[in-house]
Amino acid sequence: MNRNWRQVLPPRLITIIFCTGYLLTYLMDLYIIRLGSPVPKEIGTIRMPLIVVASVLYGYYRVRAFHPFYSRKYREWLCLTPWSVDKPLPKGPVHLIWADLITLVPLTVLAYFNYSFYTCVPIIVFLGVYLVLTCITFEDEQGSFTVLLLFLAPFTIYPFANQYIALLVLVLLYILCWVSLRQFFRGFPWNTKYWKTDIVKEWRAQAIRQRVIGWPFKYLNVYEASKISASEAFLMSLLLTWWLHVIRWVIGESFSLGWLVMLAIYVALFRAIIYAGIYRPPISLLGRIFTGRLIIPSYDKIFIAPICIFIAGTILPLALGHLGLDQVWNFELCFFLIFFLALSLPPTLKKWRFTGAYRIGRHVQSYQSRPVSPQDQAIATFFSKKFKSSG
Amino acid sequence: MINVVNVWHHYGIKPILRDVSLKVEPGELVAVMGPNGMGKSTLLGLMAGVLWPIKGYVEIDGHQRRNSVEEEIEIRKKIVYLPDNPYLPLYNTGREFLLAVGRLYEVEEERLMEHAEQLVKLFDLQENADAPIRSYSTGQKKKIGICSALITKAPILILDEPFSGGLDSSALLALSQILKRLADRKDVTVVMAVPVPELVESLAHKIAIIAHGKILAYDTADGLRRTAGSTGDLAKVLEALIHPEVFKNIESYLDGRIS
Repeated sequence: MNRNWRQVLPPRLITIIFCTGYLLTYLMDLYIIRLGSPVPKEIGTIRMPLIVVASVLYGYYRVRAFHPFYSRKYREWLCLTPWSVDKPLPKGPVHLIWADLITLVPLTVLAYFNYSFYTCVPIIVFLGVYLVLTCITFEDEQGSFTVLLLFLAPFTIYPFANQYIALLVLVLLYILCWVSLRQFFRGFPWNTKYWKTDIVKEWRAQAIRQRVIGWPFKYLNVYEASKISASEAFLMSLLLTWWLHVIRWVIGESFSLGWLVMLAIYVALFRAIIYAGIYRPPISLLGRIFTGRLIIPSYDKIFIAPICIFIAGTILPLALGHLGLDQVWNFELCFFLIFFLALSLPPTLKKWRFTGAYRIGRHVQSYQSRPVSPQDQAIATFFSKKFKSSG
Repeated sequence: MINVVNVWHHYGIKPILRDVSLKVEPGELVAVMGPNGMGKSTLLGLMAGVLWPIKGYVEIDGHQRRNSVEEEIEIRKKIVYLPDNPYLPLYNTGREFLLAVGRLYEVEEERLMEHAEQLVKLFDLQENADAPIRSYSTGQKKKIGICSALITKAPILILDEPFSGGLDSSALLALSQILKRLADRKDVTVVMAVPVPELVESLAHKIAIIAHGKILAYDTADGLRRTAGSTGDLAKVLEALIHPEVFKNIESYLDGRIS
């Protein structure tokens, strides 16, 4: 316990900066009082953001400093030790301990004295940051927690906007997070992504990111991103709609159907560009017209999804409106459909890339050509001299 | 084995390939020859999977191209395509590019480093291997492109005009000797588009002559001579097959000038 409470204390420098900043606001108060003027309310309002920032930083510190996910050297070292979940983590615990109250209680007390209405805000903010950062580290096995977190998080403000309910939701989420964290560390390091990393896949991703490989290797290789299943598409669309519902509630007014049309156009365009941007039709438009093959089913099937998305954002809401469906429900149903169709309608990107009736556009083949500039020539000379001198 | 079956292709209105069929046996080195703009690169693009035939299909080792995800993955593991104008990462070094391509094809890491060094030496790129590719000359860029195809160790090479693009004499010799050795050992199957006949005869097991979207002849060099009824060098055989009237035209042109 003694060791733990010192481990989880925030870094000294941050503590000093916060305390100094906070005290400065009081010194300003005193100075203004000495001048004989009333203290403006604005000075008091600076203190609450300071407390919130301190809570955010503490939440960030509690995960970033102690979780092996965020420190490669620590993780690699830990992998070589006989550490197991039943032993304490050498750098300090990732899960919350009583010693965390040493930091959180003073922040809460300060919040109470400034704005008693926002007493729980420091703990709420701290828990929010802590949960998000912990959630990022989770593997597929803990995926259900991530989904749960994303679904339950809006309950912190919806439908009551009450800080005690928000705190209750976050505490509940923390309990679930703790269970997932135990499960995660039970599988460490063998079942973690950094242990199971597919090195070739990593290299390829890095090579593509850094544009080391391109035409034709980038488009004719065997590695592809995993596809989104229908259930995942459903869940993702539902989640987006749920967040939209909460945002609408927070704003306090419903969105107009014009937004839906805009959204449908953007999503349809995005999907069409993803599928047809690089992968062009096997024959040109002129070729289609003059050969009478106006529709090439094996290629044009990729436009079915964008058309459906467009219909879901334009014609469907009007039709549902005529049938008497409430505007809020109408909007949210169509919003859900737009994303669900975009993510789930066939062909999947993987299937299309491997089996589509496309040709790879000429722009892909020739965009890298560039004449050698004098500067480039100078660099080449420099490197060749360096090479010669190093033998 | 590469099997091109009744393939038709056109980008716009004009057909580029018309009912082309071609079979390349494993370990064969086939040169595709013919005048410019007659469909050599298109045929290679179809074999490489860059293009989709309007009609017909292409099979690689019994798997039809773009038929199913699994089959296409199997094909892509085996085949490497070097276009006439490949992408080169201008801000990376030649060696980095070679290693990245080798890793893409899952060449063992220890072998990869060694192979990259050998290729760099072979194509006389030692001095530039660790310099950014943007500083390379046209010929050096061509060389690094060829190295990238060779480093993959893929059993099927589709090479679009590998001998053109500013290669110096040593690189021409190195490439032709490598291809010849691979062809003699029947280690890899190579299909390459070559516009000049001089290099082809000593290398290719078979030559496919393509003109006006059709395969005019597909045989060994001797077989082509028999077909053309000519005993001269391959250039004359090709001209006799592709442009039977060309010699007559040359004679009449020269006669006209002299008289």
